[in-house]
Order: sequence, then structure tokens, then C-alpha cells
Amino acid sequence: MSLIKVTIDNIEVDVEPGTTILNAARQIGGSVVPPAMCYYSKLEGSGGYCRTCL
Amino acid sequence: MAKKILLNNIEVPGLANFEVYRQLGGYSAVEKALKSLSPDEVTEEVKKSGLRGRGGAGFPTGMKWGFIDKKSGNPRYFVCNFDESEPGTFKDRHIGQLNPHQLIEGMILGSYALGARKSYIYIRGELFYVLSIIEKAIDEAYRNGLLGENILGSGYSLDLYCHPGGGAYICGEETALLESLEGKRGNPRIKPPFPAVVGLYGCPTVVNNVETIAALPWILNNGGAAYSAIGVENSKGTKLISACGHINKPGVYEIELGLPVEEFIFSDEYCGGIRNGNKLKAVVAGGSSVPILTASLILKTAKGEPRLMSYESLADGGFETGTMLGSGGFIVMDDTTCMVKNLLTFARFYHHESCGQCSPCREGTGWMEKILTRIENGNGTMKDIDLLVDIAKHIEGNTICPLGDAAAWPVASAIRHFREEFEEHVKLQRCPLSR
Repeated sequence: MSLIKVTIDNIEVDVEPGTTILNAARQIGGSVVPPAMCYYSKLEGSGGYCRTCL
Repeated sequence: MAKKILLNNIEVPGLANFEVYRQLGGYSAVEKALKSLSPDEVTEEVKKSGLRGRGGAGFPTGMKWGFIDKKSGNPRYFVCNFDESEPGTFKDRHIGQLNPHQLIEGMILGSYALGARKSYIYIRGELFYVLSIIEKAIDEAYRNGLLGENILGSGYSLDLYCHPGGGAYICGEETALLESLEGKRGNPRIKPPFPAVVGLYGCPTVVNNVETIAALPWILNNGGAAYSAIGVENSKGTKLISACGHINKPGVYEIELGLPVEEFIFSDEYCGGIRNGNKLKAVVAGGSSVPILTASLILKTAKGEPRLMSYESLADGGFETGTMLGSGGFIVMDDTTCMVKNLLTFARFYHHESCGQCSPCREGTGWMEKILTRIENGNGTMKDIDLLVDIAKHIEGNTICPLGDAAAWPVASAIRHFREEFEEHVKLQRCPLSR
């Protein structure tokens, strides 16, 4: 599967298709990562509800 | 006299009874549609009428129906949003209480157009007395063959249920309403997918307001073109306005869209002017969620044109100098009203009704209430006013459902238009209008 190029704050990163913006930011790490309360990677369907990342 | 579509026979005694309604020509639209029109022709007629959703957003009804997914093979549902809880709005209750058969007739027409076999009326829990009126009307319709199997021998069957909610404001948001109807906590869903694709029980669903549905019988009887002949620009037909506040004649009025606001407030046919001959100070034109406007801005737009009761004219000037038609809850305030206290009442309401899912709304509404209480009680500082604007900016657009926006807009607009009054509260360290 081909990777997708994403640019966040001028930092480029290759991610798998279907990756959320939050996870893409976490791949970069550091100060790019927004705060998030409702996302838990092991819980399917979680994320997107608390809106702290916006 | 203005044309009456929704409240035409509203003063006839016993209108809630089936026989009276039938004698006045009721259910003729159902007869016409089921016998001579196909479902698509009904949708086409509604599209032609230019009817827009009367719940507040003003989305074209025909277009909304057009989005429904007919290919999936899943059952389709038609739901009536009777969860009318917007402060200042009481128009749907008026229809449900006095003319329930008009609503049921509209439900049959809408369900037929969408191909729904089961339809629901989701009614607000506080309106329990209206629920019993509607239940009785549904029973009468079943007995007379207008609901149930094979309606009027047309081969079309429909079951209609009335479901009372628990009285939460948030359940008026359509996806929260569907969650609540499914028996869950009324938390709005993330959109997309929209209810037209994944709605009630995961099936295609259309949710419409009571007033929208109640206009359907007239549109089918007289044709969509006749309906779109009324009104101005893209605001077609008539609208119910529930006028309240400091006016001589509060109540529910049906207006043709395009009526000048000045005429609505001061003519004897409608509100009849301000009480005790006081001066008009501010107007909330469409239920508590829309931006508040000063007397001069509600009567005339910033360009100096007279403002009309229509979707376009009220929105003229954007959020800087305009507002929205919203749900039609028309709140008039005279010069004895304290804007801070009024805003505090709204903020308290939104804090209480926030569902708590999104952080900006859950936290922000609480802070706004706290800060406004501080200012009203004379403990505010100048920084607090800017802090309120800042909070409102951070709520707006960052939440799943429009409740966050609805909580932010009144605050932002009240400070924009009445900033001196907030500053006076801070300077005097008390409310200048209280004794």
C-alpha cells in the first residue's frame, strides 16, 4: 500500500492511508502533537468527541 | 389580511377532533397524493414550493428529502422533531395542541414521499398534555383508515408513533434526537454520515420540524407554485412567529415572509407596540440562539434599508450587524431590560443544557455563566468582558453540534452591540438598572 504525504506545520511525514490527523501529528511528535482526551488507540471508534485537539 | 396557511382554521372550536378537521377539507391532500401522485411527484412538488426547514437552520426541505438513500434497501424513516425547547419559541406547541391532525396529515404525506413504513413524532417531555392530544388524534386517524394497513385503499401502509423525550434541549438537534429515539443518551453524532444515509437504527432517515410538516398539506392541495408565489427572494411561504417579551400582544402569529419588522412590532394586527409606551431597546429575532440586535439595527439594516422578516433580510450584514430568522422566537425587550442579566439567563440555560461531549462547549458555557454572574453582581473587571469574547470565539465552530455556536453567538453579539452597558456594570460595581 502506498503511503500518503502529510505536511503539518511545514514538517512532512509519510503515513498509511486511513491515518487520522492526530496520529500523523503523533508520528512527528514534539510540539506538533495537539492535546487529546477522548482518543485511546486500543478502543475502536474512540476519538473525535472531546474537541480539545481543535 | 395576510394569507393564512398554518393557522387558517385555528380558531374553529373542536379542531383537534377528526370530524371537524375532515369537514374543513382535512386529509384531502392525503387522498390526492395517495391516489393520483407518485412519491417522487410529491417530492417534486415540495421542491417547487421552496419550503425551507422551519426549525431554525432554514435548509430547503425538498433538497433534504432528495438526499435520502433509496438504493441501500434498508427501511427508511420519517421523523418529526417536536422537541421545541428554544427559549422564546412556542409555535410548534400551538399547532400540536390545537391542530394535531394537520401534523398527522403532513406526516403521512412526508412518509409517502420518502417511502417510510414507520414514522415517529418525537415530542418534548414537558409537553405531556400535547402528547395526549396527539395520541388521541393518531387513534382517530387509525380508526378512520388514514393510518395503518392499506391507507384509503391505495396499498400504502404506515404506522405512526408518538414518542415523548425526557425534556432535554439537546435532543432537538437531529442526531441527538435519533440517539434518544433509539433509547440512548442524547449525544449528537459526528457528521458525516448524515441522517439521510445513516439515521435512525442505522437506516436512512429524514428529520423535519413540526411547522415544516404542517405546511405540507396546503402545498399538496394548492401546488408548490402557489406556495412559492408567497414571500420574497428565497424565503417562500408563511412562517409562524412566537412573539413574546415587552409587547402589548404576545402570541403566535402567522406572517408572510417579507413583512417589514417595524410593521410586525408596532402594528395592531401583530405585536401591537411596546408595553406602557416604553422605548424599544433590543430584539432577539429567532429564539435565544441567534445574535441580539439593537432597536435601530432590527428596524433598518446597516445599509439603511428597512429590515424584513425573511431569511435573507434578517441575515443582512452577517454577524456584525445582522442576525437570523432562526426558529421564529421573537423576543422584544424595552429600555427597562438589563442586557447583562438577560445574557446571564441565556448563558445559564446553555450551561445547563450542554450535553458535555465537547470540551469547548462543556467548559466554555460554564465559564460564561460564572463570569456573567460576576459582572451582574458588581464583581466584574474590564478584563472579564474581553475574556467573554475570547471564550465565545473558542467555542464557535469547534463543537460537534450547533449548541456551542448557539451559546456563543448571543454573548458575542450582546457585547458587540451593548458594550457600554457591560462597562457600566464594572464601573459602578452594580447593575445600573436594578434598585
